[in-house]
Amino acid sequence: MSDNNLAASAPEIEKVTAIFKRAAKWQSISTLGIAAVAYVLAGMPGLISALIGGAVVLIGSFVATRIARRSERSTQASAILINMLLAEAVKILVIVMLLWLSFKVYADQLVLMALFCSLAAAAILSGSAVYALNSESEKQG
Amino acid sequence: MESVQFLAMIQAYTGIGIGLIIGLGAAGACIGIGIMSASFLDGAARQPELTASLQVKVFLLLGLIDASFIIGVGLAMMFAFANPLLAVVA
Repeated sequence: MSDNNLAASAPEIEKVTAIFKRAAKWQSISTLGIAAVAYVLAGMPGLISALIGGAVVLIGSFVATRIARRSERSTQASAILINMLLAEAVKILVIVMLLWLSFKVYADQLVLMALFCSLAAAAILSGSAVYALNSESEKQG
Repeated sequence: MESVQFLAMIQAYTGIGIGLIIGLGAAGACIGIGIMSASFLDGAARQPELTASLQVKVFLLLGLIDASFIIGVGLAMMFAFANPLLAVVA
């Protein structure tokens, strides 16, 4: 297997960063929308709970992206794969730790429905990057 | 005494539910990631020039596969730390 062709090119990495920025933008918009609804329905605790739910997923995704970008100069598919699985593991660990922390620290005033809706929306919208990538590919023909 | 028994039953069944949520979610995510990783390695071995673009798609799909598991973990942690079912006994 030729090693020269396996490294991700610089434009490819820039494309990843741009797509992740777009996904993060959609996640932030959904989180802010749910936070606004939660503020109307449950007041300030609802707003804070919704922001916590969205922020947990955003921070996890950001950490995973930083780790996954370490393999941008890797020359072997197995090394790339191992790094990506490591990034996913760290992402789940970060999300679990932050959720545990928020449940411990802010348990008394947590509005569960707001937190859960915001978390679910942000997690599902992380897949929106796939659609962004698809539309980028269609533009390029 | 009866409320204590109800409390114990709710906690026990909630524990079983949490185990099922996390266990089945992890199993599904692992199967999906395994299939995708095998396909990635297969594709990279067949066409090494596509590895860079496949790397991007694999990482994005990893996030999509994990989304359901993350939602399950959030739900399980909600039941573990702030169980709304216990309000019935209270």
